[in-house]
Parts: sequence; structure tokens; C-alpha cells
Amino acid sequence: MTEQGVHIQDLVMRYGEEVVLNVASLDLGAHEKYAIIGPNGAGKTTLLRILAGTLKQSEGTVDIPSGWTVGYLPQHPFVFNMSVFRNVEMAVQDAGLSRSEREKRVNEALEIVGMLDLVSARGTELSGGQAQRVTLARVFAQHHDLLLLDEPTSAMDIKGTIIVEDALKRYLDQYQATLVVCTHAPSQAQRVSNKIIVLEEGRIAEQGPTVDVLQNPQSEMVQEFLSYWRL
Amino acid sequence: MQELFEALTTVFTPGSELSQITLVTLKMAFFSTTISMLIGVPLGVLIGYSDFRGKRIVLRILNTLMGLPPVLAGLIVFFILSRSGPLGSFRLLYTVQAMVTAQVILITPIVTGLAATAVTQVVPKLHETAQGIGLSRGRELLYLLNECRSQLFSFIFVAFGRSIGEVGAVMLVGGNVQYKTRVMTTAIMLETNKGNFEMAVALGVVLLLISFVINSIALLFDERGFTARRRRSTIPRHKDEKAVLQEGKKDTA
Repeated sequence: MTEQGVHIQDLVMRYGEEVVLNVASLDLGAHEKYAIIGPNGAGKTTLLRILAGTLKQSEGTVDIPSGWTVGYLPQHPFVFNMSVFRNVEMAVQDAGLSRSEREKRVNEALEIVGMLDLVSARGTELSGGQAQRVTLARVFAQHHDLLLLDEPTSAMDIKGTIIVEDALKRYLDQYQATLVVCTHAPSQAQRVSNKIIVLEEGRIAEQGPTVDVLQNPQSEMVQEFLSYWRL
Repeated sequence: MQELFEALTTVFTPGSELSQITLVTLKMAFFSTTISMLIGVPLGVLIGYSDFRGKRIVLRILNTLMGLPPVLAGLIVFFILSRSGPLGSFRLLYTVQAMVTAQVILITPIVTGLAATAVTQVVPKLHETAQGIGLSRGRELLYLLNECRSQLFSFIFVAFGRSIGEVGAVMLVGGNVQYKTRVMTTAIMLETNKGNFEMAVALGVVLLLISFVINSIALLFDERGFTARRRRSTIPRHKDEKAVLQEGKKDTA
């Protein structure tokens, strides 16, 4: 374990009798960038939701350092039928900031995701990609220590994806947050993370530095999973 | 045409029977709609928003009550308010209050069910997003109401339409008493039974006109109240906003 970060121990999540997640031990170092990849139904979203506290695990512990704040962007985030500015501002409404500080935070976050041109547009007017960028700005505005993003570019083409990945890099450089991002695309994992966790049927199949795992996977399952990516 | 013209003229003649009928109809519809909305909307939002044991059975009961036959609602109120009934001492049978009570029993489940459905469609995504950014339950509920406001507002039309067009229940508990509990629909029935078909049709047209005027006023409120929020916005629009929005539509995968 590097600097003290998140520690997961004996984590089990069950839906009825079915075990959907079973993680014996996992450490997420502070200021690191993790990508969780794996096929559909591998347990990526479940793990992220447990880390975010929106889902209670059946067994085990998740220790997040005291004082850390956690921001979570779900796979299908909600964009409200109000201005883009208000959509982001709501995230810092209860942060005890003055109006000008709030505006500064919102504008900063919108600038990072490249959405300053649309501050007054309504949420319902946005395209899927623009809406995802607004919801990302919402989480950015809160300046969290741990950022959990579930498929943050699922509604975007490659151009939008690169914009968001650049925004993410800028944000992480600026605020030194710990990142955990779920993605089904190994190429995205390679671009945004330095460590990777590969999940298969709720278990960790492999983990380590992103470059090592993607270039030289050890387990058969990961080799097979990545072989589709290389096609 | 002559009958229709006469009917329309008499509606606006103070003291005429038709103007009296119109007033009673409006009074009954106004109170039934208001009370049903005041009970049904909060109850529906609460049911749709909360996750509790037995929610499915509550929704099933609600769906059943949404199809409650008006005559049955009238019969229930009739028994409760009749002399030998539990509230017989209040002597409310054959009054507008009795008609409003029967209407509230009929309309409240409809408004509740519609509100619950409207909220349920939004809640899952909104709730997860709200949790992700740490919104309090109170704020989450406020944003939810704000998000569904247009739909919730539209239930006024549903409630009013149901109320103004109801005949079975109001006939049973109101008794169609002249100058007291006679409303448009019961008057139409009476005129039809008497063979005054022209008058019955004229009354029907007046009823439709009332409904049209009320709906138009409500729509005006809706548009002014909800879209003006944007016009009042202090956030300056970017000069290229439209172009950027168009560009975004093309970029979406």
C-alpha cells in the first residue's frame, strides 16, 4: 500500500442467493488513478456503488480515510430541466460557500469540461455527450478526495471521449484526487489510469500497473478479454 | 341553433336557472378538484418517492380505486350521509358538500395514482445522482417536485375534467334538486328524459365551453409560470449557444 487510501476487506455482495461481488482484499492508494474493467455483469458498477455508499454490501468492510469526501457519477446520471449553471451549482449549494465562491467553483468546473458556452442552456436541450459533461462538472465542482466515475463517456463518440478524458486529467492534476473509473474500454483505461483492476464474475481476475496488465496479462480470462480489444 | 343561443344567453343572465346551475357546477368542480389535488398530489409523490414494504400492494389498490365506478362512490357516500348512516346527523345528503365528498372519493385515487407514476419514472436516476453529489433528502424531494411540476400541474385538468363531467355519483348524493344541487350533467339528463333534446345539447355545449375556458386559463398559468423562469434567468446566454447545442447533437454517439 502506498500512501494511506481506501482498504477493502472480505467484501461480498449478494442479490438473494447469487454472489455478484467477492473481493478478498483490495487497496486503493491515495492520488492514484484506477480503472476497473471487465465484461458486462462482472461487478464493476456494484463495486463502485459500494465505494460510493449508495449500496450496502452484504459482508465485509470498506475503509475510506476519515475526512475524505467521495463524489460519485452514476452510469446514467440525471440532468435536471434547469440551466446548465444551476445543474452544477446544486452540487455546491450546501457547501457553505458565498455566492461568488459558488459561481467561481461552477464556472471553473464548467470550464474544465468545456461547457462554459452553454451555461444558460437547459438540461433538456443538451445532447447525451453534453449532458454527461455537465454531470461530470457537477462532481468536479465539489472538489472530492475520491472520485468514482461509472462509464463517464458511454454516450459519447471518440471526440467527446477525448474531451472528457483531457478534462479528467486537468482536474486530477489540479486537485490531486484519487480516481476510480469503470470502463468497458481497455483503451480508455490505458489513457486515464496508471493502475488497473480486471473483474470477472465478481472477482478480481488481475490487477497491477495498467501498462503491464494490458500488455502482458497473466490470467487466461484477461488474455481472452483483451484479445477482443486487440482485434 | 336558437336553443343554443338562448342557453348561452341565459347562462349570463343573473338569477336564471341556467346561471344557477352553472354556478353550482363550477363550485362543485372547484372544491372537488382542489381537495383532490391537495390530498392526491402529496400522497402520490410520497408513494412514488418512498421505498417501503407493501408498496406494490398499495399501488395495486390505488389502480383498482382509479377505476372505481362513480355510482359505487355515490352509494358509499349516500350510506354514510343518510339519516341512519354514521354522519347522518350532519344532514349533508342532497347538498353540494355531499356531491364534493363523492367526487373527492372518485378523483383522489386518480390524482394519487398519476402522481405516483409520474414520480416513479424519475426517482431511480434522480435518487442515484442526488446520492452521488450528497444532496439532502429534503433538497432531493424539492428537485424532484421541480422536475415533475409540469406533469403534476396537468393533473388539475384531469381532476377538473372528471369532476365537471361526473353524473352518476352526483345524481345519487345530490338528488338533482332544482336551484340547489342541480349541475350541468344532471340537468342534461333531466332535459333528455323530458324530451328536450335541443336544450340538452345546448347545455352540453355550455359544459364544453366552460371546460375549454378553464383549461385555457390553466394552460396560460402553466406557460407563464414555468417558461418564464428561463426569461427571468440572470445567467447570460452565450452568443453561440444554439450553434454549440447543434454541434453537440452531431457529436453524440
